[in-house]
Amino acid sequence: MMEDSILRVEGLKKYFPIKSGVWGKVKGYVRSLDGVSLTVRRGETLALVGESGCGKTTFGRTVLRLLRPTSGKIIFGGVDITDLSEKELKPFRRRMQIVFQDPLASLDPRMTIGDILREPFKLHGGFSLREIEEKILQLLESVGMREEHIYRYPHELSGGQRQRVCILRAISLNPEFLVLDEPTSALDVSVQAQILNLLKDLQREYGLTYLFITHDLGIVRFMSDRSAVMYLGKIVELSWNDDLFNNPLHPYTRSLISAIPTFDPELKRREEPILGEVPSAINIPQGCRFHPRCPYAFGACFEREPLLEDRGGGHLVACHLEKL
Amino acid sequence: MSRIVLDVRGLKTYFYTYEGVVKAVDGVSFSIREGEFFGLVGETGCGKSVTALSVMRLVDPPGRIVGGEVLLDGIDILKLSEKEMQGVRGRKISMIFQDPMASLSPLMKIGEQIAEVLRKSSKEVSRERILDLLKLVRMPSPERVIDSYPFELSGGMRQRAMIAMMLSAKPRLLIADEPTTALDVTTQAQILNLLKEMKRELKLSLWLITHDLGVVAELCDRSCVMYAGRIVECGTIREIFREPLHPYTRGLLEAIPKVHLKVDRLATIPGTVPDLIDPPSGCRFHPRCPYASYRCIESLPEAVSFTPTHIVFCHLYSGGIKA
Ligand SMILES: Nc1ncnc2c1ncn2[C@@H]1O[C@H](COP(=O)(O)OP(=O)(O)OP(=O)(O)O)[C@@H](O)[C@H]1O
Ligand SMILES: Nc1ncnc2c1ncn2[C@@H]1O[C@H](COP(=O)(O)OP(=O)(O)OP(=O)(O)O)[C@@H](O)[C@H]1O
Ligand code: SF4
Ligand SMILES: [Mg+2]
Ligand SMILES: [Mg+2]
Repeated sequence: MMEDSILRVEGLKKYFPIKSGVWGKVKGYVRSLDGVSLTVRRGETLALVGESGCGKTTFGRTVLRLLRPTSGKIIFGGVDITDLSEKELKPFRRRMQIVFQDPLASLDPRMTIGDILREPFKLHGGFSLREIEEKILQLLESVGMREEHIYRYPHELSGGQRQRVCILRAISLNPEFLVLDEPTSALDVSVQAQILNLLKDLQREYGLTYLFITHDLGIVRFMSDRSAVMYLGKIVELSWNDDLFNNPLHPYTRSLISAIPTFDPELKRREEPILGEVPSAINIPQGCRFHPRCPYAFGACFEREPLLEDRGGGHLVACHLEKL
Repeated sequence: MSRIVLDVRGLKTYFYTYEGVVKAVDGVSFSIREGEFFGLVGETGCGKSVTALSVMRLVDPPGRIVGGEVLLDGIDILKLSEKEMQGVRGRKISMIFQDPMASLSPLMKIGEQIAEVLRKSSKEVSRERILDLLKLVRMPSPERVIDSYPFELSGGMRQRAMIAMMLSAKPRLLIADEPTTALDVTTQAQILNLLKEMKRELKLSLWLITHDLGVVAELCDRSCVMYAGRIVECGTIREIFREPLHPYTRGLLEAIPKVHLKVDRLATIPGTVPDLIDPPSGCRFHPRCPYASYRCIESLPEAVSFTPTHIVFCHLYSGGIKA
């Protein structure tokens, strides 16, 4: 097996301790990532979808080593970066970047757009002042912004322009891998369309690899080739999009797909959406973690955790059902 | 056709700020019939919430309603005294908001809050009746929820509690401002299903406000699209989604990435929404419209009707011909 992977994650866990009292005694754990394994191929867009709190952001931050994993392995560009120190990580930092959901919160309000864009060049060194100025002008132009924006502050830009700045900051040092954490969920549809097109163009131009986090299946369909569905800290299904959307195998994926409103007034929902609410990541159900909400649960689902298995053609699913 | 419950005519609400007059709602007209689900859609800042707050007469200074009529069952509520208006709010028109935490009292149990609404609208108050209401909104474990505080409930349960509270007064019209925006897709689907059941069971009239066209298509009978303080198109769901006429409606529909249709690029609407202090002349969409001509810059487009329900405000159709 020699497929070109940029990121390989094996059995990744991230538990957050819950402390109580003055002595900070640990009384339990939030199991935000509970054994995630997947591979991101060079040049692809892998979408990561799931409901609020299922662990998407935690996954994105942990694979970039912005959070320390509890256990498991992170292999980036063939190197095991799981336990590297901050100093050892430095050369990797410029190769992998992240763009967050809320552009205003991730831009320092006291810095001008120019200062914000200069920062990564200064941090990683090796550029003359003139080179930096030329670079940031080029970057701004590449996303339809102008020189005058260099002197503006974040609050003087529109939401779409702010997110453009965040994207530019992330790609300025030619990274290979970008985690996009719901980059358009704070934007209007008309601006969202502009940003999504831009991300596709940038990917083509610079050969970028994306991990695209979202809960919007329409965006998944547009942006990605393959998708992973996450539920309570675990991947329950992973496949090529055509397969995933036309032939979802996991009951959870099926309800997610049937829960999205269709744009066709003639089309009615095919299936009742799932009942109940997402359980907390502190008390994860025994057996299959989806069983309390699953309309198909049977004996085995209450007892054993299903493994993520290939059902053919790279369509992975973790469910005890043979067929639906 | 059923009777008209709410008839908004030429509503104008402006905000008098230091920077200038924000013409947030500038001549908006539409009506809602008994038992109808009506959707008001548009992008952020176009004036949806201000329209609803104006109808509730809850616009705070520096905002002021400066023109128009709001007829509720034929009576212009803009002419009522504040005291009379209090009898309208919560009884004849109720409103639920995006964030239920903002309208639920954090210090009162859910049951007590519902009891209070019942008392205000002089309805019978009993534990039975409150439990019935919680069951009506398909609340999971209602016996527990009745004695719970809002923070003990999930987002979906809080929104159900809100809906129970609002329905308890049996209002003529329920206004829901982004009721599912803060929820997950699966929870959203549950709340949408609940509202549909309410429609069947209670003959509820609902005014839904959202930026999500999918939600409107799923839930509503009729809809108006708003842009920069004005309505640009109204029609049945079929008319809006199958035969959209206004370039903005078309642009909006095409800009949405869809699950069942894989495309390589999304259509975009160039530019950004205008400043409402100094909005563009003529048709407010003209700076972003691919079809704009000099007429669009000079004069405000009049309403053109293609069917009794399908109305568009665009010069492209001024001859009454579809392009
Ligand atoms: N620093 C932290 N300390 C404790 N718990 C945390 C921390 N960060 C995240 N969690 C918990 O981990 C779980 C996963 O959170 P995460 O933010 O990764 O979810 P998400 O899938 O990104 O959700 P959303 O769609 O709402 O952004 C949640 O239960 C969350 O409360
Ligand atoms: N108190 C205020 N002072 C000045 N301008 C205001 C005030 N409240 C609202 N506005 C302006 O009125 C316009 C309409 O706002 P409104 O809240 O109705 O938008 P909306 O369509 O509900 O948007 P969203 O989808 O973001 O909720 C906006 O341009 C807003 O800036
Ligand atoms: S394993 Fe069983 S409980 Fe889990 S999703 Fe599949 S059918 Fe449902
Ligand atoms: Mg997140
Ligand atoms: Mg609003």
